[in-house]
Amino acid sequence: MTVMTPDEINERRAKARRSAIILGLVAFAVFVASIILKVAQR
Amino acid sequence: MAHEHTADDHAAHGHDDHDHGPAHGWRRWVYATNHKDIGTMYLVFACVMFFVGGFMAMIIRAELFQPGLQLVEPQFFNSMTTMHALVMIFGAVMPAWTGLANWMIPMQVGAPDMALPRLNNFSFWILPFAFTLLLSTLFVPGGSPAGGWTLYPPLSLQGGDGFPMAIFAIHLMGASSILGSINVVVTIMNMRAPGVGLLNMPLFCWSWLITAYLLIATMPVLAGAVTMLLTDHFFATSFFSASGGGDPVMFQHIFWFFGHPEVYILILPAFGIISEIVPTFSRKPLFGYDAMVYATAAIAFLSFIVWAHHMFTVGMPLAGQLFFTLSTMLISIPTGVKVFNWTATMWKGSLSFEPPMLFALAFLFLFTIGGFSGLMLAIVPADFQYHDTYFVVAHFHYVLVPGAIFAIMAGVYYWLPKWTGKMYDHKLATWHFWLSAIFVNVLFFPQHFLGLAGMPRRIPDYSVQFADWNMVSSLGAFGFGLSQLLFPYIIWKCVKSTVKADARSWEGAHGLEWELSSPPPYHSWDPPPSPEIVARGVQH
Repeated sequence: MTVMTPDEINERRAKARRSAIILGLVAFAVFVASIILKVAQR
Repeated sequence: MAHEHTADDHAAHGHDDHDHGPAHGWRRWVYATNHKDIGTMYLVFACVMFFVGGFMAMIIRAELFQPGLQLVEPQFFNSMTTMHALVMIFGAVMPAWTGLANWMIPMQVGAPDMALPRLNNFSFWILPFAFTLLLSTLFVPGGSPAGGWTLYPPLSLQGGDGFPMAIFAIHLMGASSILGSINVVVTIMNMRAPGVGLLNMPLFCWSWLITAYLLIATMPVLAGAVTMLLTDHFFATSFFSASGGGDPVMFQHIFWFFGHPEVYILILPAFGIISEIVPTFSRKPLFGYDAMVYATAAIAFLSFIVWAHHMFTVGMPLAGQLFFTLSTMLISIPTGVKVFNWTATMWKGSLSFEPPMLFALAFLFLFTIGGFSGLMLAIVPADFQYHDTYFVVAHFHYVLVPGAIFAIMAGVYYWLPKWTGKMYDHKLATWHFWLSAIFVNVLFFPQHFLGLAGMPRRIPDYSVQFADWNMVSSLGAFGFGLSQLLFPYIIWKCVKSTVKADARSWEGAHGLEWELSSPPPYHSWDPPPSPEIVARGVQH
């Protein structure tokens, strides 16, 4: 178990940004899917 | 006591070559990227909305004090029930949880801040605009939405100018919640200090992590539903209009596919807080940590497959009724695991009853009452009798007021000494607790009787047979409402107080946040916690 260096923290932040973009896209896909499913139901 | 992590450590570490301190004046708040400042803004916003929504509740209970119409027009009364719900759910409870998450998650996982601080600023600052828009519907032609917070068409489509404003406000609240949740997920998944593993981080972080996934999965569904309402109203689509071949019942399915997980979004962080407080004041580790994590995840999963229990009376095949009854009842198993684990944590513990523990214990008893009435509502033939009566109102208020709201208050009273570095007035906080606990029961318990006797919800007038219990309920409401004024006063008094709080403000407190000084340095864990501090602070 070691202490994180500033570089490691920045690296983790960059990874967090990438994950955030993916989660945002998932949320948008759910939004679109809810409408498409309603249209398909008709 | 062990060495505390303080602002001096931070300076000694040589990180002061750039500005770490807060900006001054309004810039500190408008441009805030610090998790504590943003957490504070969320909590203050939630408190303001709690009183705005509470004032609406007072109008409702004043009108219902006696049978007959006395104070407000029926349309305005319906606006009050609708707006009270929207303000309390999206303006008070959810922002309060996000505020607590902002304050506590970085400190609990050993991170200097949330992973995405500017996104955090954006998430918060959407909210004042959303609620200005929502509340301004009170002043436009046609008034505020009055068809209930569920916005069922075709009724909701008959609204006035307030209708599109409310929909846009809901979109904004949803965007704020999704962005806030993404921040929580990526902070917990990426920013944990070495040694803070997923299965030894505090239960509050776990419950918020699961809540955040629920939010990301369900808020877009609400956004989809209200977008379709908007196009039905303004662009001649007929998603939900039967006259154009649409299906209004489908709206209810889509809404409750969001709506039921939303109920757990409001309560899961409460489970996390109770799991922090009960061990502290029992001076014992939490009983069954792993089981608590899995139970929280199980509740979240089940919340996706129970939605149609809100709409048994619209009619559905027998197989559907059986499925939704049984899946709903299944939720009592992981919830029971939690209640028994909290009880087992207290068993043979060295209990003390400071204000956070009092609120946590009241939560345990009163939330369980709400859970039991929920089981009654899960039974289809019984639900046919209870549906749309005051029994339902009693049920969900037991879950949300002595459930979610008491847990928020427990959390604030638990961590306030950590946030401010000062200890609050225990005597006043104990008064706040007892007044709240007594009046909340006077307010909501009689509503069970009213519902069982057949009083419908969302009506401004009622038959004289319901008069007595309505009067009792209203008196309870006025008492509860007045006693809540103590809450901001106690906080204000604490901030102004000179009574210092220790770094470990409660004798039995355990966790990384208690390894920091009170108040903590501006950037909580910068430098990150040493392996020794982590070993002391994580769950065992």
